[in-house]
Amino acid sequence: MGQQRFKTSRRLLFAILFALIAGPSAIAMEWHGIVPLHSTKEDVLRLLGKPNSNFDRYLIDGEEATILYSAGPCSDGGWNVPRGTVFLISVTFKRARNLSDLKIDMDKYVRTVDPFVTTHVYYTNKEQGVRYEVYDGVNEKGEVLQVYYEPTGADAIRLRCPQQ
Amino acid sequence: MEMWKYEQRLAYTRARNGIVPRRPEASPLDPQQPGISVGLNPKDQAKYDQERDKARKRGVPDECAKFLSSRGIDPSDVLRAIELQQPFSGPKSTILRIDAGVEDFDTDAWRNLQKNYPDTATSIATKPVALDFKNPRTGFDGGIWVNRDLKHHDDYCLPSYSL
Repeated sequence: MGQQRFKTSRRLLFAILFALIAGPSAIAMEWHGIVPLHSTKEDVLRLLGKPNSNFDRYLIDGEEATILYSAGPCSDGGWNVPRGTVFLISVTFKRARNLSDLKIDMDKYVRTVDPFVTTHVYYTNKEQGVRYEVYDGVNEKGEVLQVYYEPTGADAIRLRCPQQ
Repeated sequence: MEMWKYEQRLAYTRARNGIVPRRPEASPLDPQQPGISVGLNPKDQAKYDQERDKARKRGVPDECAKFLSSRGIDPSDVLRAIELQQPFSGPKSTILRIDAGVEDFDTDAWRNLQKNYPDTATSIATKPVALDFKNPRTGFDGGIWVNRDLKHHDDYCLPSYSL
């Protein structure tokens, strides 16, 4: 029985090790099971069905998402993935939400200001492939304008097309 | 620099002075693929043509011309830009921000972002414009881009002169 328990523990250990080695995709943020550069249009249709909101968006649980697919390896978007692979999910909230409502660990996010619209700032977690676009005006601050689920830093190293 | 095709795209966009590069290989039947510029519907096209004619007739008001000159912009370039514009449907088009001619990528702010946070810069430049147009919280993204010191970039000539 002790030996059986040891085998089970060893299997568990291997599973944990495998998950760690599998690495970036294991910790990538997902939106309703969809992960950029790992999910395909078929996955989206299977999991979410057809778009149910305006402009081919998905409206689920108060979140409205645009899912973008690659047109082929190194096409616009710049990812070396097959046609039909999800490369970006943009999510907006139907009801306004502040960044502080989301209870995220800000230590894991890098803050950058949009160089074009200086009242918009980005909080990026490259490791998890998630970026919050937040309004940062003089009087009003903190409203989340858009959440981007994008390739993780590790996936970007593997699959970003080289500059031509 | 990790920017994908950045230099070529910027040169192309700027050389064409704001003309939206159309991609003949893109299929208008794939609205969720990037790089597609969808024209206006007949009603919106008629409205656009009407407003463009008004702008042509009106020219650049003196007050606005003075302001533009003080910022190093030749006022006649504004009218030239209007002539060269190719309107597209914002919510339906997935052309990238860098292709759409709605931003000025020739600023110190942009270069600093690109130098310090190349991944974020790439994400911003290659974001399809439709995402902002569809989003009720960000809405329309456009205007004439002057420089990094001008914070309220898209309303500096309003309401007396609207582009």
